[in-house]
Amino acid sequence: MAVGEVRPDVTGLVREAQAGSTAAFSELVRLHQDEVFTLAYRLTGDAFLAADVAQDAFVRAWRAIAGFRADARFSTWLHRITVNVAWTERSRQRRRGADSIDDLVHEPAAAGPSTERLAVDAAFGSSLASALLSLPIALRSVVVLKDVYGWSHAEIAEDLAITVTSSKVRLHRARRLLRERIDRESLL
Amino acid sequence: MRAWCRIVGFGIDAAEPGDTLSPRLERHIAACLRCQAQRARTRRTRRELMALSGSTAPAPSGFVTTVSAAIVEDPGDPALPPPAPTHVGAVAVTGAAVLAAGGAAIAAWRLVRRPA
Repeated sequence: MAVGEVRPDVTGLVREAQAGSTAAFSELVRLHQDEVFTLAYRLTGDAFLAADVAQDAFVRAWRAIAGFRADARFSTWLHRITVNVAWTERSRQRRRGADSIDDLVHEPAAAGPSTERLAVDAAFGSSLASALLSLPIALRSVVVLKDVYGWSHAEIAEDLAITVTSSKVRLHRARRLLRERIDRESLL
Repeated sequence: MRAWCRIVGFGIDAAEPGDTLSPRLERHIAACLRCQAQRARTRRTRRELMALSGSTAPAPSGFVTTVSAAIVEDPGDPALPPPAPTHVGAVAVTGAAVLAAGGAAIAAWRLVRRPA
């Protein structure tokens, strides 16, 4: 935040939105849009799908905001809804017949990375982010939530509807794959 | 790769910041350049991953307008609770299905075994 910039009163905006103010909620969307979109992108690996997931997450947040309790951080609550929406989307895609979201959104290797993906990668400024996006979504979700956002295994297990043990095993696999892919990239 | 290096590799990947490995694994790392390099690489990767939390990609232009239009059209339901974990429902449904199947199997078995 720039010097002299007024810190937004998120608590006040949440209270107004809970009273039914769409203007207050729109302001909350403006304040949190980038972080929610980024989380959705890290989970889905596709900018277009991430925009849909982020939009759906905000609509669900609006529907449920009356139940939001001030003892949690609003952004944490939004993150949990975003993970939930992304995971639901993944299940929906799998029911449609694809093995995973990755099958739908990853372009063939020969075609190279898409323009929008390159743009977002550039914003992330790291080849690590690209390696992260190359992981299968089931592994990527766990490593993103644990190592990037600092969630506990219990929180991950609850939101992804898996066991704590599964969360630990997926994290181990994800870290190993990530290291291998970074090593491979550095050799190229 | 030696068997001990694999075991240590698993330990390094599974360890959380602040965790200590067993003295035996630590002794191996102290004597093994490959495992030392792996530990250093793993720590660096985790630091880089943590640093990603501070960077965001900009949402598509017009995002706020789109969401605002969607919520104006969707008056919402203030009585709705936040999304519940989906696994609770799944466990309940699976449990009910198992109980029902078990009951049906016992009933069928008793019918078959009953003397004429």
